[in-house]
Amino acid sequence: MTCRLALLALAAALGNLPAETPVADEYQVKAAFLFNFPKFVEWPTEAFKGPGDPITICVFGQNPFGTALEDVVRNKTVANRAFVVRDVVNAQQASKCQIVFVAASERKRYRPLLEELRGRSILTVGETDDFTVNGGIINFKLKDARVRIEIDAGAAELAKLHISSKLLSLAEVARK
Amino acid sequence: MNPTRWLWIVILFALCLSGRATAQVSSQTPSTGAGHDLSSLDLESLLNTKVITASKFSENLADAPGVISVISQDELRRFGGTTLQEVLERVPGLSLASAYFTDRSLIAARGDQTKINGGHVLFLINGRPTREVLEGGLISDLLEAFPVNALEKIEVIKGPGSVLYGSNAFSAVVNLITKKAESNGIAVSGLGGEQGAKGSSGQVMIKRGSFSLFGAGQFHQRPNWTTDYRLPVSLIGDPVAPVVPLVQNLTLEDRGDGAYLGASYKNLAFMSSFTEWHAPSFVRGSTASNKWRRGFADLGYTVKATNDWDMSFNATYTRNTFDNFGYPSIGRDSQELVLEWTNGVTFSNRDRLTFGALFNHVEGQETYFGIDPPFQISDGSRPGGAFYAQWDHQLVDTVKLVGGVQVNKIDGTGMNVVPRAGVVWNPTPHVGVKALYSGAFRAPSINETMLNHPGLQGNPDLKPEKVGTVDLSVSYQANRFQGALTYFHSRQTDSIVVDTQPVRWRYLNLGEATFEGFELESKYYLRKSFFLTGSVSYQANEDGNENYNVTPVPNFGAKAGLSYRAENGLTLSIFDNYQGALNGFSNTTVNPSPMAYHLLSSHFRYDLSRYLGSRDKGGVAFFAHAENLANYQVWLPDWGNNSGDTMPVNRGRTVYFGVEFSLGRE
Repeated sequence: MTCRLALLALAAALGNLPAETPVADEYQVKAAFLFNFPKFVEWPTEAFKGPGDPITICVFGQNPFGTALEDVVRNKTVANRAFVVRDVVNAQQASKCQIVFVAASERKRYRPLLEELRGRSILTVGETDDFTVNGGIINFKLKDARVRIEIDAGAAELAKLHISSKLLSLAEVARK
Repeated sequence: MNPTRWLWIVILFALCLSGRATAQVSSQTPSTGAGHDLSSLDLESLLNTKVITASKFSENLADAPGVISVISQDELRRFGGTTLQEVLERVPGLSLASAYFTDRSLIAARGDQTKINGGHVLFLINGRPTREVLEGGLISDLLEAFPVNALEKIEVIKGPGSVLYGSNAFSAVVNLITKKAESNGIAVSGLGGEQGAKGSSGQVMIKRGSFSLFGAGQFHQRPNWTTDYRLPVSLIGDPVAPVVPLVQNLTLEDRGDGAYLGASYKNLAFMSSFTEWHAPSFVRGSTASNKWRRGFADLGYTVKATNDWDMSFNATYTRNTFDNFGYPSIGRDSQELVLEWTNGVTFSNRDRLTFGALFNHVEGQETYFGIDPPFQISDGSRPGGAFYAQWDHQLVDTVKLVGGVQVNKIDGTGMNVVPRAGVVWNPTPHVGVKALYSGAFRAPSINETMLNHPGLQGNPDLKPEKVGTVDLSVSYQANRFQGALTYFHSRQTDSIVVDTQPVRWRYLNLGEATFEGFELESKYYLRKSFFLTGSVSYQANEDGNENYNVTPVPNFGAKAGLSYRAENGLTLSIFDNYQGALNGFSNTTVNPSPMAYHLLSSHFRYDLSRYLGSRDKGGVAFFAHAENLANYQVWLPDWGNNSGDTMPVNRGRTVYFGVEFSLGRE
């Protein structure tokens, strides 16, 4: 009994610790990253039909965001462009997007999609271990319960996308 | 040993290892809350934001080459449960079952309870098999004593799985996936109820660089159940069994304790568990106390041979003991060692090969204590080996082909081959259509081959019993909804049965049985806080002599759950498991008849941490958990006794109240 009380006392004593780090749902954070990327990525002019065209963020596979992605971009603009969120099921639909997020549900099927999109000015973002190895540009990883980003600058260059040094400095460099 | 000792050993051990690590317990955390606008955060802040990984449908079941049901962490938290048995009863197609003697707590998959033990359901702990090898598959200790608080999720693969998992993966594979330490934390809880019901549990997580450790323990004692048990008419005057009164007033014990410890450092991982359960048996009208114990350990090393080739090496050890205090007074001790090399190779965008090889060694003894001096009625050992391979080929974007085979050799028997083949068609990312054929086997146990009992002898020439199953399944999975309809047809052959024709009974490969049915299951998140789940299952079976409904499992079952789990810390859930009438079993018994029943449970939990200002670094929660609210006393056929009568299995309503203290966050 003494031992148990000591453990509970220890637990209580350790309870008074500083609290600093914010906590959020994984896909709220990933949605916020997707909203932020256009601030640090430059698309060639031909990637849009016109100057007022919205930035289209597409989700390939089972949409894990719920309403988080729509919520985070609603009524927001980046470089005078609004946002549109769409679900896509094939490369043809994905080719009309500026950002394509490949959901984890497609981890066994996404490679043909990347092959189809290769060379197009589309920022491909994934969340599977080998995403950049297989041609993806940005990959989300979870490390120490935080979202980390991995960038393959070579793949971005192939897609004629210019990624700012600020974003690159915060990302891990993808190794092939 | 004091029943709670294991729990405290785990916690203290972990605390000692943690040293100052625990004192640095997570400094996380004001929650941003669901409504917080993260778009205002800059990149650095986003990178610093700790994330809570959602557990909703993280697996794409539509594309898995098997019929899989998953109990997620969210469901475990919503519906609670004091034992693994109670949690697994919620899985579509799984049913509560019990046998008269050595395996009192069972879970039957798709109606298959042809054995008097759990030898047709294989349990894995984090993918590693744990088997009892003397009788051939006792699982009571796992179902009643494995610490439920150690579980991250449970995967139930229905149908055969021997190609990848070996012997006993016959009608289902239950993979217990434990939590892993992501940060530092500790939690302890206690619960109590009427008539001696009590329990305690605890867990500890330590994360320091590449080292992580997770430990959990649980003690659980159900209320005393005092009931009359009447000697089955067919057993009156039995010359073999002790003389017992026609009516015995019994107080039935039911208590178990278990612990789990998992640690990893870089590519090396170790895990171990201990489970112990105490419950009565009903052998030929005579009741006795029994104790089941299991120790399990696995040491694994994973390595990436190339970018596309992952391999792992595992040494897995399980030891089981069974002690019977009373009639027929036996003691058992058995163990299995498995050394396995597993590989996963991605050849191209469309091809993946899984292959491996294993060596296993089993040994065990059974001692009869009914006379002095005691003598061994079973003592044996044998080696075995297997090679297996499974190829996944993405034929086109929407069609995947799967083929696999296991070739195994058990000492003393011929080569044994089990196949798997299937096609998975995903016409859309949300829809999966599967047609699968899978084979499986159960190796004859040490007793079945080497028993030397005066009334029953083993048969060293036994072959493994086999099953072949066809599954046809259609599933739909979206962000908030998941549903599947599955038809199955299984045929068991070479079933190992006791031949009662000779004076001295003997095990033979004589039996066969066919099972057929369907499962309809769905889950739906109405909102993030509201969750609904439901299933309907039906099975019919017959043996080789055209006897229908030969297992003590209802043809029809329906399950439904409703849960509210809010961000304010309140959880309210209710779940009903209805099991229909047992067709084919006598209703004229001296004990209560086996009837249709509802097992209605509820779970209430209120986390007070938000009021204490400690929500994200632990705190206090109160909970209440009720089992069998509708108060059905469940009596099932005394499977194995062949008396035509019943035995007590579920005492009725039990309500527990408890409190949990935690520090740190999972």
